[in-house]
Amino acid sequence: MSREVLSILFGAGFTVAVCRSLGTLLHARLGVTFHRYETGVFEFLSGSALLSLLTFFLCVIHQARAGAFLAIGAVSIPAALWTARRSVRTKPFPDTDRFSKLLFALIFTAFFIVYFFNALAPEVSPDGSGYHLSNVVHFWRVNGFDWSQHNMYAYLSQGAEMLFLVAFSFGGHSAAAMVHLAFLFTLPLLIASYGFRFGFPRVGLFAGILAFASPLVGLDGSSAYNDIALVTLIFAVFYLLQLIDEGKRANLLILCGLLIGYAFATKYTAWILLPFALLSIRRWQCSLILTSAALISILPWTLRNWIWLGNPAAPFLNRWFPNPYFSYATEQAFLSGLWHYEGINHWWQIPLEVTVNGGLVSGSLGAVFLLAPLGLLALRHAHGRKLLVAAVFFSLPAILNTGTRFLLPAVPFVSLAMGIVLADTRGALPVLALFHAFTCWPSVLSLYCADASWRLHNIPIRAALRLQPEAEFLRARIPDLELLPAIQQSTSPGDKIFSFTVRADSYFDRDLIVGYESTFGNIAQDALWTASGALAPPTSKQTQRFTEGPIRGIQVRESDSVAEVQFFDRGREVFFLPNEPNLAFDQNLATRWIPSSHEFLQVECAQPLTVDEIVFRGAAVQARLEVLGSDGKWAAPPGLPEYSTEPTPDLRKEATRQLKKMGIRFLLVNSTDYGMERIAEQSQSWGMTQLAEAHGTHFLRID
Amino acid sequence: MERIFSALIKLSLLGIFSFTLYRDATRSITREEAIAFERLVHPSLRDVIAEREVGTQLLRTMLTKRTVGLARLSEFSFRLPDLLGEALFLCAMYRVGRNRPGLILVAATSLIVPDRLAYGLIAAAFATEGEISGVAGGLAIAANPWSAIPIVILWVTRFRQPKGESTILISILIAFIFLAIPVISGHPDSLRTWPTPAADNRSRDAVHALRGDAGARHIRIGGSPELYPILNFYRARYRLSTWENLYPEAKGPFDYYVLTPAADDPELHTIYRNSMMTIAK
Repeated sequence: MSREVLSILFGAGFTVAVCRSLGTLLHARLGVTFHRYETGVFEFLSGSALLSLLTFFLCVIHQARAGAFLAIGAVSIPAALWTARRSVRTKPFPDTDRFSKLLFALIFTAFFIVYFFNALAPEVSPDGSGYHLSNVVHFWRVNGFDWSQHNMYAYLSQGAEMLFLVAFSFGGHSAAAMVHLAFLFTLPLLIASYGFRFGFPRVGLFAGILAFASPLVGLDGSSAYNDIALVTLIFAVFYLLQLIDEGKRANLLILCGLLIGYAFATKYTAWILLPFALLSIRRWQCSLILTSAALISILPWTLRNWIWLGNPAAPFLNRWFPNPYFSYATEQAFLSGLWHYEGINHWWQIPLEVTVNGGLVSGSLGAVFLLAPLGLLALRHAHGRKLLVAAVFFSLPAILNTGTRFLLPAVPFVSLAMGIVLADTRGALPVLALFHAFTCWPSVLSLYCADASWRLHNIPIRAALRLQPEAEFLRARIPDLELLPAIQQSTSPGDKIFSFTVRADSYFDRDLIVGYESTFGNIAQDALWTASGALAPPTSKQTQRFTEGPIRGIQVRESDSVAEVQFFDRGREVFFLPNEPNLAFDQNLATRWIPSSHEFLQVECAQPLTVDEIVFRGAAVQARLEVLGSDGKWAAPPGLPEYSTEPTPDLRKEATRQLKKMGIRFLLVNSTDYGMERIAEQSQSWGMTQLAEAHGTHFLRID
Repeated sequence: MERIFSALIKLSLLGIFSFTLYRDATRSITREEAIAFERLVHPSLRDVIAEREVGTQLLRTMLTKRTVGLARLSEFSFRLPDLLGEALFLCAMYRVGRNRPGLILVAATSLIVPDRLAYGLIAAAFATEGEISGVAGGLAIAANPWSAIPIVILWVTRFRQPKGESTILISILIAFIFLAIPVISGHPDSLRTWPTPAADNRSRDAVHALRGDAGARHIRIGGSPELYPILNFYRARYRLSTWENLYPEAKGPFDYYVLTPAADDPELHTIYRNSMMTIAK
């Protein structure tokens, strides 16, 4: 086995071991005990919350380095072993039939092999090699949070990434994916334990198989994503709430709260866990304990964003917490892109896409979940009702994002509900479990799902064991990486590279500015789109003449956007220096000021300005103007504005001038990017030079 | 008296079955059957699913593949699943014989679903109880989705019975296993039903005539597109390696031409003709 593989396995194994040992210590401290099969999974989950929190604080003080992690391990692992030796051996669950256990073991082992080798292979998932690990790489480089990083994904809570960072410090990208894999392996064991604990072991084993063999669960869990960690945590919280409901252990409230907080730290969508838990408990003393414990993991992330960006919920809620890094308009554009199905013409296509085809919703859950309506029959059972309520509750975030990934939190609950319904039908559970496993096996799945469905294709053993060179494997799956040598040769660390789309930037050692990810990127994107004609060019002109004398400011309302505002005095242009920089006053027609809803443009200058004409230019300007006179009063100027249309200007060099002004000197552009189809052949007209090209992606330098 | 009556019924059912068996074994393959063979049975199951061809016919395809594999390709082996359906139907008729409403219902299903395997399974579902009935019902829907109509009627009548819910769930699961993925991922063409044998078109005689004339020579055959699947079936059935690639067109330099009777050509020498096809050289 190569040294690289060993370092990956060490990185992941060490992280999981530290999680487990921290969990052991926490459980001992809280005095909570579980059945034998439950102990390991709950210790791992609660320990991962603690390790994530510890890593967060190390990141704040910029001490998140391998040595610090080793020190945590060196203390926690022996202490946990010592504690475990002293603790009383807990009871196992009552046994169930051998056939069900054997079937579970067989299917679990078969898929374990598939997932293990896929996770061990070089990381190629879009978001994994993109923002999840890109954030980790940034933290790793500076041993903590990179406060200069300004893109929306850097603002998200990164509880799982904190664990990835520990593993990444030793084993790189694949080690991070292997940590997520640990959550994937935990999930079916947890579901099965739930079945054993509450008296339906066969159902638990069946539901564990359904969740574990699901194609999207497998792919996501064997990549450096965070969805499966979230699913596991949500189910663990539900599990603990049932135990609390039985009135068994008061200290479980603290554990449950900690996991709720950690779920939020893993992904914002888990915020619904807290109201769910509070509604389940319905006792204010317990609610107080639970909330306090949850805040231990929630507050660090919200406070970080509040202090760093002025928005505790960044990159969302920008309307209530306006900040210069991500605007409300961009947030709306981003969210509306997420909650619209593309290519789906009828509502009934959605369940078929989510379960079988997977092409239009980024992956499928498995055809068996078409039988999910059968689960409604579980409403006749007390447990079934609880499971179905949870399934509905935890599916709610899917309203905001059409990707099947956002339905994953409901999978364990729906699986258990289906199992409860089918439990009394002889042979139904094993037959359906086998059918699910067979139809979700990668080579079988490829026979019937949509080509574009996001899924595991095979078992890349050679790549996983690094018998196939990593670079070769990566280049075959991430075509952009062909450009890596040219990028490294032409740029230096810290250089900004603009791109319209996300890329596997965890493999680039440069700052990638993606158009939609920040206000900064938006300005560059807008300039390029305006110049390429992808956005309406600023050919519309509104002229307002007046004779009132000097002015000290203007207010512009009811305009879609304004590319430029110009002031003239007897035909001579007067330069207006607003007290705040604004794209409508930057002498560049390629940029524009875009109002958010109800927002208007108001600028004032220090010295009164004598003007007799104000010209607005933009795509379709129809501005309502008010001016601030020297008497300090706002008033609409008398006289009607004149409207005219100008010829389309060539703004290509203006656009690249803007990018250069922003410190962006390089671009990565796909031939398929909107409005950029001919950028390579027209690079001279843009004032750019193409440095390299691979698979339709152009690497350009602004001259 | 009752014993004699029972024996007479048994004998008549056996007679019906023997007649069906004889008819299935001797009737030439029809064009629709030959197309089904070419589309579903001849390629591997993997290819059939990957090409999204299987649609509602996964159960039929698997069964036919199995019978053809076991008994070698012939008209009989190709129709064996249908024959099994017929046998099931007759057995079920005998079993529900004393229950007149049941008998009428079972007999009526053969009119609703003119698919022998399907109505055989429907009849079996009616004639049995509990999980076996559920399995038969599920398989009936898998064999022909129109079977869902009588099977749902059966569910309604049995819902309150002990194990009624299990029976229904088993039917749903089995039908789901065979239909869900192929139907959802299949292209619209794949949703056609399995062909039922029509009147004998005597295409086997035509093929015999062609084999007799050509002997062991390597020959090139051009056929009318509509006859091409039948030729392909018999080429596979008799393992005619001397028949070089068959060409689904009637024009070109071929040794033999298999044409529809309407496409008669005075330049060709006809060696066989029936109402369905003309063989010329």
